[in-house]
Amino acid sequence: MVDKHKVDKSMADNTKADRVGIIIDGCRYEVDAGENLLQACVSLGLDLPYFCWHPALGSVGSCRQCAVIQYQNDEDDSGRLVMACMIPASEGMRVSLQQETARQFRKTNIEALMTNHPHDCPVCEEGGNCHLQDMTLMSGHIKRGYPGTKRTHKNQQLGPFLNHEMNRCIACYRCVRFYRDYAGGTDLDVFGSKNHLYFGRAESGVLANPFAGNLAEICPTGVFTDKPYSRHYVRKWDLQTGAAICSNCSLGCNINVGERDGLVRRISNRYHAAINGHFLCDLGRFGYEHVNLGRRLEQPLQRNNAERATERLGAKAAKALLTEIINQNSSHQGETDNTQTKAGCIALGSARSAIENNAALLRLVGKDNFYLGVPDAQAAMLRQLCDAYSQGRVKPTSMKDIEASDAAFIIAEDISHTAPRLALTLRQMSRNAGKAKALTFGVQIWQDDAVRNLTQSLRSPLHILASHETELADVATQNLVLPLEGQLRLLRAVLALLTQTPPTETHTETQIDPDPLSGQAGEIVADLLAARRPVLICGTQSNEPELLRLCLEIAERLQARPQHDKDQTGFYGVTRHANDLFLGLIAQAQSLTPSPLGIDALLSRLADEPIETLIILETDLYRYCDKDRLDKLLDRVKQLIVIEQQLTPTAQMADLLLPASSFAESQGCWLSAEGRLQFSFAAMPAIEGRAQAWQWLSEAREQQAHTQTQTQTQTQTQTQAQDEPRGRSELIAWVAQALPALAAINAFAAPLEFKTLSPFPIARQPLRASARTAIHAGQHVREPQPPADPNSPYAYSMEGVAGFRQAQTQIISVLPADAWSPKWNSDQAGSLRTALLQSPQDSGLGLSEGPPEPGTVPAPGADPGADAQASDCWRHGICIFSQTEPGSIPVTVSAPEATTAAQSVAAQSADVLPAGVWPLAPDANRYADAELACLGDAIRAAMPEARVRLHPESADKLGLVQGDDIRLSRYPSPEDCESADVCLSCTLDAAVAREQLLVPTPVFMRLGHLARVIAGPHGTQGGEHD
Amino acid sequence: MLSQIRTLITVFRHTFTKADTVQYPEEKPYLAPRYRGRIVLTRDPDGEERCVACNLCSVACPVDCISVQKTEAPDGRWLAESFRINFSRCILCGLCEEACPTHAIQLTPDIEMAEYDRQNLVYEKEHLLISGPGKYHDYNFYRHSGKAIAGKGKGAAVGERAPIDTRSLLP
Repeated sequence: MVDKHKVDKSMADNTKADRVGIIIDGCRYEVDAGENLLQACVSLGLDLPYFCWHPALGSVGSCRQCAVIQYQNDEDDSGRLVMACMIPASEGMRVSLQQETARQFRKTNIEALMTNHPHDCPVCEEGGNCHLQDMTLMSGHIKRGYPGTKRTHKNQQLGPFLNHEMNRCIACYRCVRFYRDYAGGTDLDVFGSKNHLYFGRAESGVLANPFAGNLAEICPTGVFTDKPYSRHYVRKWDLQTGAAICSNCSLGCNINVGERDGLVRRISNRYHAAINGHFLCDLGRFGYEHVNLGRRLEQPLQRNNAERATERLGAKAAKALLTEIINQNSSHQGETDNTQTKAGCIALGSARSAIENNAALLRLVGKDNFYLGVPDAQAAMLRQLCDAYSQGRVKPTSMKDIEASDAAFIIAEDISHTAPRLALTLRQMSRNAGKAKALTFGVQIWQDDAVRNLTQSLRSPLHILASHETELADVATQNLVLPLEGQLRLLRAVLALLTQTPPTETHTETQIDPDPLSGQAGEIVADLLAARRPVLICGTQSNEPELLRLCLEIAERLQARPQHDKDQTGFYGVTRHANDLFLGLIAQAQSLTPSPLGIDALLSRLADEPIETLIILETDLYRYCDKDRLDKLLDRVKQLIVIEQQLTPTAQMADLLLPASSFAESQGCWLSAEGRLQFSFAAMPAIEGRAQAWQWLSEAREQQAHTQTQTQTQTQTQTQAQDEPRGRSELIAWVAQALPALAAINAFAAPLEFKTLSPFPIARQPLRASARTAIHAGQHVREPQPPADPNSPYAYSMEGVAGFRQAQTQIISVLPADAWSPKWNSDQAGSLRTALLQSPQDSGLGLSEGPPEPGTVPAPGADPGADAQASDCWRHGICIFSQTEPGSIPVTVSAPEATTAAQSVAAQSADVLPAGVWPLAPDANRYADAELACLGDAIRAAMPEARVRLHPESADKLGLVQGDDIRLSRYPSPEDCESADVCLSCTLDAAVAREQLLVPTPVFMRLGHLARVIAGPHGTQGGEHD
Repeated sequence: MLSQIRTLITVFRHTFTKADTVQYPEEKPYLAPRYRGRIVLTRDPDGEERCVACNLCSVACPVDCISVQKTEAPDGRWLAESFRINFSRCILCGLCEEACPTHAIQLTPDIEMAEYDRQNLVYEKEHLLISGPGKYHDYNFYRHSGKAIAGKGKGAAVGERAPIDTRSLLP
């Protein structure tokens, strides 16, 4: 029974109530109380067709497909027809799925739905992956009996991501319920009446919501289909799937990468209860096309300056050359022992590369010569985050917990763009007040319509502090649009209110007049304190360590409040790249050095001393630095080795260029912003000339170590090089030892070992994958052996444990549990069932507590009893900070970062600045900021034009009108060379804070917090007007 | 003893019966018009390719010898960018013809495909495409399908009404 008193206070525990026994077709089953009957049936693995219900969207009972017979009591033998999705399972309830009336009803219903369905399954992208196909078959409707004509619809152009084919619609309303109710979109709706319903936009146009791509997955038939997938379409049964981690932002969403014939064909959602649940953002779903680019690097290249030519190298030759360069370096270093540097080889790591790659580089060059692939300010912020996490001062929260919290404060992070999936989570969070209200009325959360009716405009408090109005503004209680200086002021006021000291104590400037922001600060503090589970969202977008310091302090204070249980105060620090937090951990390990070793530190070192060898791993320096300056600096490096996926401007400067494999071709560990360590599997093998960076580097290191200790024996090094699995596990062991905070990574040392339940590999291809003997016959009629994959439990073929058995025999399955079992074949139904079967209680509406996250994970295969827990680390990842208590990990507390001159200037208000100098703020864009993803066609089509956004008042000051060009240059301008200008057109926008210019993130990263506006409208010298 | 004699008689009798074996290359055996041999890709009555690259032949093939890649023509039709069949694997079972929803694949009685080099048994689309409709003279998939292509808009297929006006509230 649901304890109502408990429920309204603790929404988190409502569905964890007892189990009830229900009788379905004479068999007794135990299901969760309060769950709807349809969900119960699906969780039990029974076949009950449905369309409109979705665990994340709840029930509305609009498709009438899940009809069952409910009996009044034991004597009742006729019963009555009910919709299973609309009735809660209750103790002793007796229902029948198989009774003839119910079956006939379902069959007739689907026959009616199909009367207008077009005759186009062969040319439908959904074919073979279609819930409607499956349900039609399941219901037993085979032959069209209706002789009449079909109604038709005109389609719309919906932008670069989705195709629209309205004729296929069965009017289940899932699309508008997701798009409008769940994702907060406004430009998709339902029009018309009765069987003239039309789901689309008012007129053709790009769907504005960044989660529109989910429509392709959520539509039970082919009305909305994945457009980029359609361009290189193959049927679902031909996809070779790898269980990967999305590397486009720092959230670490779980994805399935579908590959065929060397091309990534599509990305679909892989259910993870604590992160992405059932939905992905469009960047994650469509941001893979860079992997397929023909201009990607395919072979190691060597610059030959003597002949002004580029030489192509084989993989072996490149490895030998790399070894030679590095060895030469170390031996050269031994002779002319420079007092300044210990090794002439320095390296720049990457925030968008897996942990293994960075670790191999770190091991090769040593901590003091390793620079983090982010600007110094970012590195400092990452270190702040890692320090706070590992000292146990604040604990990062999972997205599931954020969804369950009841008040949020988003600080200076435009999460709709820097971490889109998190924005969707917060949108659901804002509904919690309404859900709580519904529970007090005894309405179940899954009664979607009723809950929304009760909710009306009631929302959980959500305060947003930003330099412009964000996309979450419509659900926010309070939108605070302030420039950086104002943001800092507000945060100080909040902090002061939390510490119960006058707000003027910390900051003397504001002492003179009472801060006008204290009112807003008061509201924020009141809401945060009133909430049971408040959550703070901040991040590194602002590029201002001081701001992050304040956020962390606020989080700490909030946790210290007596009414808050420590675990129930949430904190999420969004970072810019997928592996940023790992760089933070390295920065922590480097904490002996006074300032963080970021890109700026690297550049100044390059300027200061001649460098023998510089190894750059997957970072494009030209994104952070002016071209002229960087050209000169890189020219001073004798040997520039770049390991990169694409031919970036940095890669073009390389003396030796080694192609790196993309996320789809590599397996490795990623550390999400939440501190969740996850393992990403490859979907396809890398071609001969490409390899993961650690594979390139580890051999060079082995030979280096070898030559240093003893005379080189060729045979020995060769055997070492062949032993790759050992190479990786050795590397992982080294990481665990070098970075104590990351000791849990040992659990991922041997991917082969989690395959404990079956002696066979897991098939990446479904059982029904086709064209095996023809697909490569164009090159040669002899069928090649499938590529071997000795390091992973998966096979690049259909051999091994088939998809639909994986859930039974394997700990981690790449395919939905029932893929290619008849009936529940489509991805959406399959993944939904996987989620339900996996963990019945945490598939619901995000309000329930899942199984506890594993904190310490035993070595895989240590004892059979630990299997379940070992499996969790592969399926759920490991939260490396979840167990840290204050003081549990000794950390050398770094001195508070000395803020550089530019940063302290940035924190001043605009009127203190010299004339013509304006503060800049980053205007993030999810597509344009994604360095690799924006190379793909679909993402590029979705990218907005780069422009400066400013408030009309600011524009007046500058004498600008809409569309004028604005020219910005770095302030203060660097001494060593002339700084290049950035010229952008400007857009006037009243939703932007006054006294600042909002510039695209790449421009912001290059210019910093301040810029001199040197040319106003039409190229005339107009910047000095004010 | 008796059985040996009977065997001898049987063998002796066969000396005078007509041989089933024919001198094949010179003398052709009779093959029924619907004999299952090499496949062809046919065209619809309007001369357009029937194959829509739906991949059903590929998945139906028991020896996995058909590989199809879909592309889209400017007029909106789905087309096979490549259609490859490896006849050195093909067992001429006809399941691809049965699976084909557009009558594009049709089996012909041609079984004379011997080659010295196996590579020559890999047929691409241009080797398979014929210029006529084959056994089904009238069928045109796009005339029945709800998918719009250039020249046949929504509501113009067989058994369809004109597209509805979403702004109308009339019954």
